[in-house]
Amino acid sequence: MSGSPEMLSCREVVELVTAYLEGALSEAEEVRFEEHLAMCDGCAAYLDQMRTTIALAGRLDPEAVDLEACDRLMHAFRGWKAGPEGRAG
Amino acid sequence: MEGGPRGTGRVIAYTFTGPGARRPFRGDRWPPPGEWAAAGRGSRVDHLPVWIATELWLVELEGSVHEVATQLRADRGRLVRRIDAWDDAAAGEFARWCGRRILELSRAADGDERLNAFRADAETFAAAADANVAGWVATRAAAAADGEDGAARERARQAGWLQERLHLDPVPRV
Repeated sequence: MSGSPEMLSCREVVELVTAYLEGALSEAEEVRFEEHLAMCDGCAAYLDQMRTTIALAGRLDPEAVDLEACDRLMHAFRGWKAGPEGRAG
Repeated sequence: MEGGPRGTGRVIAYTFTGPGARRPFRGDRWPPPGEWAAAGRGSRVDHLPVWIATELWLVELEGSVHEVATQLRADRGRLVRRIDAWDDAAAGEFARWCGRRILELSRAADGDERLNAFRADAETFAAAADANVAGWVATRAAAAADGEDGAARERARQAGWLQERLHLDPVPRV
C-alpha cells in the first residue's frame, strides 16, 4: 500500500519493525512508520505479532523447554540448513 | 519539524484510538480518562485525517510538547473525554464523501485514466467504510490530478469536513 512519496511501503515497514520496537528510529521516522500503520491493517497486525512473539520468546527459559521437543526442533533446523538433499538423506 | 519548539506547558489536542481506547501501535490501552500515561500522542485538527481510527478523544499532553510532522508528542498524556460524534456512521459518511471527491476530481480531469483507477479503489473502501484508507486514496487522487499541492489541499478539505461534522474546535479546550 504505497504510492505516496512520503508514505513508507509495506516492505519498508517490515524492514523497520525491529528498529521501531527497539526505539532506534528518529522521531520523524517513527511518525512516518506510524502514519503507514494507521492506514494499513496488515502491517499493524504484523507489528502486533512481532510484539507478541518478542514478549513470549523473551521470557522463555531454555531449561523449561522439553528435551524431546528441543531435539525435534534441532533435527528440523539441521535438515532445513542442509537443503533438499540433506533432508532426503 | 522534528526538534521544533518544545512547550513546557499543557496542550489540549485530539487523538484517534482503536476500540476501547487502544493506543495505536503501542499494543496497550490508554488508562481511564484523567490518568496520565507515558509518551502522550495527539494531533491538531489539520492532521486528523492521517490518523483516522475507531474512536476519537480529546487528550491533554504535558511535558516537552512538540510537533513532528503530523503528530504532537509529549512526555505524558491523558484522555479527557471521547468525541461521541465520531462513530461508525460518521466514518461511513466520511468514506463516502471521499469517494464523491474522487468522482469530482475525475470529472475535472476530463476522464484521466489514473483517476478512474483511484475511483474504483475509493468505491471499494467507501463500501467497507474504511475512512482512513478512503481519505488516503482521495489524497493520492488529488496528487495525481494536481500534484502534491493538490494532495495537501485535499487533506485540508478532509480536516475541514471532520471539523464541521464533529463540531471540533481548532484550538481545543477542556
